[in-house]
Amino acid sequence: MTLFLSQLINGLHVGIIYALIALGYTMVYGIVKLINFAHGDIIMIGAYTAVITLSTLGWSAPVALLAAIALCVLFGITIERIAYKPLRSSPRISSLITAIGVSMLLQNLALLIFGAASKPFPTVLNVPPLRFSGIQISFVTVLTIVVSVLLMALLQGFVKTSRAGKAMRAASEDYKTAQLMGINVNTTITLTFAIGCALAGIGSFLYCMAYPAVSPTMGSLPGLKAFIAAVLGGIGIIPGAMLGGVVMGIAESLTKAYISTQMSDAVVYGILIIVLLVKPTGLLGKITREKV
Amino acid sequence: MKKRSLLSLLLMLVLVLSAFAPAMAEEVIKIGGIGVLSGDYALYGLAVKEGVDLYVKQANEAGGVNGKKVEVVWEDTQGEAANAISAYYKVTEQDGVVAIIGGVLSGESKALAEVSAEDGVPQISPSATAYDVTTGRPNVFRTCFLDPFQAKAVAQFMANEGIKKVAVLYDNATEYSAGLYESFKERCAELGVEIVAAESAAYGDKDYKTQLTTVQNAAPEAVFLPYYGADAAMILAQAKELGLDVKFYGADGISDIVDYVADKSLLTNLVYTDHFSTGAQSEISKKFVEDFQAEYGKMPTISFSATGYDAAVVLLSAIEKAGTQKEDIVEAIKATNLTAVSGNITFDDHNDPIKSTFFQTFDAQGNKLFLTQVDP
Repeated sequence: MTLFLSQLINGLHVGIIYALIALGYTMVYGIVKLINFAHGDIIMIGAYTAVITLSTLGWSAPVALLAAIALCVLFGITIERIAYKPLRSSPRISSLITAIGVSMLLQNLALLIFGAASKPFPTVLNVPPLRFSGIQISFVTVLTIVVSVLLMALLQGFVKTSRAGKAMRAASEDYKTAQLMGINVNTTITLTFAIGCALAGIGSFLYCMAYPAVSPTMGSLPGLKAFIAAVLGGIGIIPGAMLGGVVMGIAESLTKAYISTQMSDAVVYGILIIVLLVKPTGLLGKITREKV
Repeated sequence: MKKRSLLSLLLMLVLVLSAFAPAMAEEVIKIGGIGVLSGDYALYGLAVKEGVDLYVKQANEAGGVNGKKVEVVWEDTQGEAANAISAYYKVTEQDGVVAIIGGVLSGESKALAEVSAEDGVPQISPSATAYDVTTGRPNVFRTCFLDPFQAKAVAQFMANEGIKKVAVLYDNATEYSAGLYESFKERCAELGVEIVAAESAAYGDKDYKTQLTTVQNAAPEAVFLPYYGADAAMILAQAKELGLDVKFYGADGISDIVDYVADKSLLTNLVYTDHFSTGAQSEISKKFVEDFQAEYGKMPTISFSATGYDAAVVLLSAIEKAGTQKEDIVEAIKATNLTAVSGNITFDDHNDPIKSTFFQTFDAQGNKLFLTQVDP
């Protein structure tokens, strides 16, 4: 039983990181209907910022975290303005291809600047694992889960109650009408990118604390997994991304522990396929009728 | 007319001179050095080159081999098998080498072995660890040990330490890791060491906490990690997170882990096998380290410097005994029994060396520490 609980917590740790990244995908998709494939690479940028400020410049962890968030937001907004905005009224496939292009650009830029070898992420917190009646839980795991849940609650509150959040919801329902109602859609979209990238910045820091290696392609796998989490939960829906991430992480961990390591991806994708067959809009997706 | 005769005179001169050239070449014994000297893996090739060059220089200073000076013709493969083959034809046909030291990587060594086996030119690789490089090629040798050999040495070492219960975490998608695990398992069964958990990870995995939790639950006394440094760094960090506080054992591939950990104190829990250690205690090893430092101003921290040095020792001593006919050299290498820098070397039926294994660990600053040398 304690072993099962430990494995459940391991899965929760991975899943909550997926969820944090998935939020960036899902928020952007919700408004501009764009799958921002460069989102995973924003994590890489956050990770490099953190590792350089921590190791080379010797900054303290909170400052490094702020630097990582700032650079992620800066990159996110710049990418949106330069690469996606001019394509907003062109066919959706164009912006999709552009997103893949941006992702490759960022990866290869990092490869050119930092080289292919991975850089070690320094130990930020040296706290021994916590014990709860027979189970040992790593402190980083607890921290990651607490921070992520807090952030998600904050985000949910922001979207539901604030004026900017209302504008985001309005734009995601129908951004042309929202524009007619006097909502500045451009600012709203920029804000969406900024929030998504800030979460990715925090996510990159938490990710590196758990997996202390920073490399140019480090963002692609978690990015892909997070995208799948977003689809699983119902893309465009914020609680869906959270649920999708956690379901995926736990499924991965339990498969590794009780079935087979090699099967873990197969099981996760299997769950995705079944969910999409039964409920094509994802776990929390609503059925939207085509407007005539 | 005059101009033409001048030209023909020049041509004749060139012809006469080139006819002399091979006669002059008789005075030196040429050896081909083929390996990766640039690109991503240049580190290993350059380490080999430094080792080989050091011994050749020492041999020449001591009067050469049978009164002749030795010269190594180096060719860079950039790690490509195709370049290794063209380098082979260049050194054998143009430079007239009697034997070859190389290649450095397993892939290029295999390509090289394929062509050298057709001609029967003696070849010694200081660093190709893939099993089939020497298979069915009586002219191809190596001075590094193979994966199964070191996995068995690790099992033996654990048994000697009194360890009864071990766990293994390995990557069953890479040949290196899975191969080491198989040999380790075999030897453990012979020694009565129980494997209480054998967990594998999928290729490219970053999260090992699930597997490590299972390992922790099985309560082993030690964990065998047949991984390369980058992955092992990740595993050690997560093991610490989970509070899994046991000794970890690795093989030669793990030795570059220092570059991948920020917190070097993690490494004090790791013991691994190497081809050589700069802290080795034998006289000949100590002298090698001193000479290497004097020559290059640094420590031979990459152990392929030592196996490169040994390849040159084996080859030149064979040439000294047997002359420069390729069949004779091959026969003399096969009969090698000498104490070299990385331990006593003899060759088995598969032309693999039977030699010493060096166990190393790290201090809290990430420097390699010599533990012990285990002779076969």
